Amino acid sequence: MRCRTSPRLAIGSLLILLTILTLGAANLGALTLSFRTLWQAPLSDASWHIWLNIRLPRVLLAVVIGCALAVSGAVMQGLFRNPLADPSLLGISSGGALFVALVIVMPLALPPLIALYSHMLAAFLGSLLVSILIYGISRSGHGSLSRLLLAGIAINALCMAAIGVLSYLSSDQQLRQFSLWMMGSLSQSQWPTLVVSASLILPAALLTLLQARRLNLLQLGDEEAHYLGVNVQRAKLQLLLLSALLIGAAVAMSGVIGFIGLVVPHLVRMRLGGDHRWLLPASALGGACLLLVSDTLARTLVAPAEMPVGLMTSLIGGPYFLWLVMRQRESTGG
Amino acid sequence: MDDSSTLTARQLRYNLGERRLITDVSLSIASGEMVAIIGPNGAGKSTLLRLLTGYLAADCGECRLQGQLLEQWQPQQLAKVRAVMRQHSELAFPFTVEEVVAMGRSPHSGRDAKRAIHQVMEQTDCASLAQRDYRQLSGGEQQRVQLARVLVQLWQPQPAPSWLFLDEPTSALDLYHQQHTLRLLRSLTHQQPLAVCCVLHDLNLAALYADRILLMHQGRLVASGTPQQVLQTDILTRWYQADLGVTTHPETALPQVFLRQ
Repeated sequence: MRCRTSPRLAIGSLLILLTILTLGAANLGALTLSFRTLWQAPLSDASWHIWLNIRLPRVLLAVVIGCALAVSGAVMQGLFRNPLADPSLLGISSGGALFVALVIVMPLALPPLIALYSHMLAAFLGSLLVSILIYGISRSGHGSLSRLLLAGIAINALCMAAIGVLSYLSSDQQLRQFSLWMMGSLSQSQWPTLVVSASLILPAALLTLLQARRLNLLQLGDEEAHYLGVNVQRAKLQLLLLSALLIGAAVAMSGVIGFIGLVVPHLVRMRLGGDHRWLLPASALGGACLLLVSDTLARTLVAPAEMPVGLMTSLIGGPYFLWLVMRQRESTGG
Repeated sequence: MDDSSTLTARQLRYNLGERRLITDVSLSIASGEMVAIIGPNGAGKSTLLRLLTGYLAADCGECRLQGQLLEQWQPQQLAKVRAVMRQHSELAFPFTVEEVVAMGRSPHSGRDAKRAIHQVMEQTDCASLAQRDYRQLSGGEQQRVQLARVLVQLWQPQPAPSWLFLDEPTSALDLYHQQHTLRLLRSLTHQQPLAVCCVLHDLNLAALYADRILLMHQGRLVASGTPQQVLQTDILTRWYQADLGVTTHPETALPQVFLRQ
């Protein structure tokens, strides 16, 4: 068997890498802020303000969202026992997006913080609905891959059409808010948004880690897991809920950012194997690193303008996905 | 019979929609014996196994393990004394053989895990596969790994009654490993208070290694007893509808079934 990396070593290295990337990314941007200038400048300086209130929350938000995307991807793939099950491919992200769009178009007079949570709640409900739908489809059709992906395409198309109708109906101001968010961007990051998303994503990610052993047993098959004492229906429902919560929080905050949930767990599995006790934490860290790098590129490549980070991750993930599909066909004999 | 070491099923009945899959099956399996379930295709062997293991709940009748109804067992406790191996188990992700075998230990605390895994992998001839990717093994090797997994699940430091169910454990094995597996199971039932109940297609294997044979046909238990009692020409011809004969094994005096040309 190919050589595997020691999981503890891998997670340690990822932690170090993430720390370095975080510090680096916080200094890069339209305005380069080195630690030296920050150290020399007095606290009242404008550069401090930029660093503390614009740069830092954005960098941390990228970390948190990247972690949510990768963990929910790993959980979905484990649940469907399929390496191509990704929330954005299966339409779970766009289900969440549709519900957020509904909330934007039909604004209720809510205080800002609660409004933010209402986006999260809406995205969670949308993602959960699609998850359950897709899960039902996968069960009735012997879980065949093409059926699953076709259902995902259909759901994606439906949700996008509905979002199109909603944006047609919306006012100018709503439309602007809408399109900014839909492209998948972290540009709305401020401390309150960061706190709100972290308050949902971090506990959900921790709870997911506690399910890692059960997720492993589910890999043997539903019946086998049952014989090992797992309450299969309850375990699957809990995992679907957690995954929908993670993806919902990410979608509500930053729109649909594809491919992180597909690419990161796959890369981690190639190095560490399929054991979810290592796969989930390593994916969380890897997802955080990848989104942080993508977002930093997105906001520095064309500075002072900024491209949507969703575009960036698709540029990286699209070719990778194609390669994965082609390889899958070869390994099953065509 | 002693309640504390038997599995008893009474008048089990199971329907799928209008179709009757299992009709009025009663049986008991005591620890220390090896029972083979045989029967033509579609006789309900796998369904019966699922009822006896508590995966399916019978529409009528009851199934008791150590005197307690199956559905009243705590899932985790049940998993420590009852293990099931099915025909195929495929994995979608890269797990090593050792990781797959170790999953069998999950109902237990981690205390004896290393010892149990090591011992069972030696027994089942899996030790040399330990670091291989499960998905890249042949069908027969995968079956041996699954056997190791279920044996690890039932491994106890002190012998305690346990039940092992297998659905065609030898279907993908070569002659050497068919013999090895069934000899192992038979010797385990003699060394420990372990009961083995397996669905077998090969009647001659059933004759050689089973203490008792149950013959199923269209959801009913139509014959049961020692190999000599069940494997008789008239009984087999009647239920299998095949042109066959029964002779005696040259070394053991056990019945052996042959097909006529």
